[in-house]
Amino acid sequence: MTFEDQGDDRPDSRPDARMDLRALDPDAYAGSEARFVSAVMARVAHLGGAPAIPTDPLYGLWSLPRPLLLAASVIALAVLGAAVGTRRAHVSTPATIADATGIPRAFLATGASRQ
Amino acid sequence: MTLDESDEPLVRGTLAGDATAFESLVRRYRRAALARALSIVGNSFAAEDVAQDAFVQAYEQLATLREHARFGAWLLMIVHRRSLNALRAEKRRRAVPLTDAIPDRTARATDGSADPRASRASILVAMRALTEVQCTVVLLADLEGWPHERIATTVGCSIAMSRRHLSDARKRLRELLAQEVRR
Repeated sequence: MTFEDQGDDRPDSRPDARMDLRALDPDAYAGSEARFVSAVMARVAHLGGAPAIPTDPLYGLWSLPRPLLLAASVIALAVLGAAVGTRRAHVSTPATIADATGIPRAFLATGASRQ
Repeated sequence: MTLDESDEPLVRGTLAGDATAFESLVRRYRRAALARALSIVGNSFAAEDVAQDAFVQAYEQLATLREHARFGAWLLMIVHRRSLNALRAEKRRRAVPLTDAIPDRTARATDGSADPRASRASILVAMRALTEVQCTVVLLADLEGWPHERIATTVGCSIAMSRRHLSDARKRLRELLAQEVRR
């Protein structure tokens, strides 16, 4: 639909009135519609066949709404961080006072058998 | 918007290998794509190249489009990016910006009336001050004559926001064009 098709909807000086953008009308400068369309379709035909479905294994994932994907990523990172933190704390904490002071376990076992 | 105006069946048809469906999309958005490209690159020949390249890119990447009904907005976003790239490349290549259209503000016809090229140049300069969505909405509404229902679906916003964008864009364009006239 071109500007001329708009009947009495002509531009005027009211602040919110339609702008006269006929100066940008592509048909005034570009080639004909037929030439443009045939040029695009020729290039598309050269590509061959229908547009390829992406082979990205995560393709389906990207179709999720972005906020949902973002929230899931944040939660996954938080859970991973918490798990790693807990594991580190568990490994580094000494089980007994002897462990904390560095007394060899073999020595402790010997002492226990004498009693 | 009627069903036959929706992009969804055409996108689905294209993905199924129907070339005529894509041809319909090209015909539907050719003018908007060309006008959008021209509003950025300011050169008719470059705008046509950009618009053609954008359609080919859209075809190649069509399967990645999530919302088929928003093909128009997606295409115009591709046009926008490609236009900016073309503009940057041209600026690097030449010392001065390209313009078959841009500004000789003194350009006047011999009878004293404003030269249509100058008018077009002023609009092009003013449109660069708009946001991407404002530019798209004002082109679709005031150049293509689309109703707000269709613009809202294409751009992906509410009808109220479409009206708001259009109002803001017109106001800004009028201000800038008025400043241009006063100079």
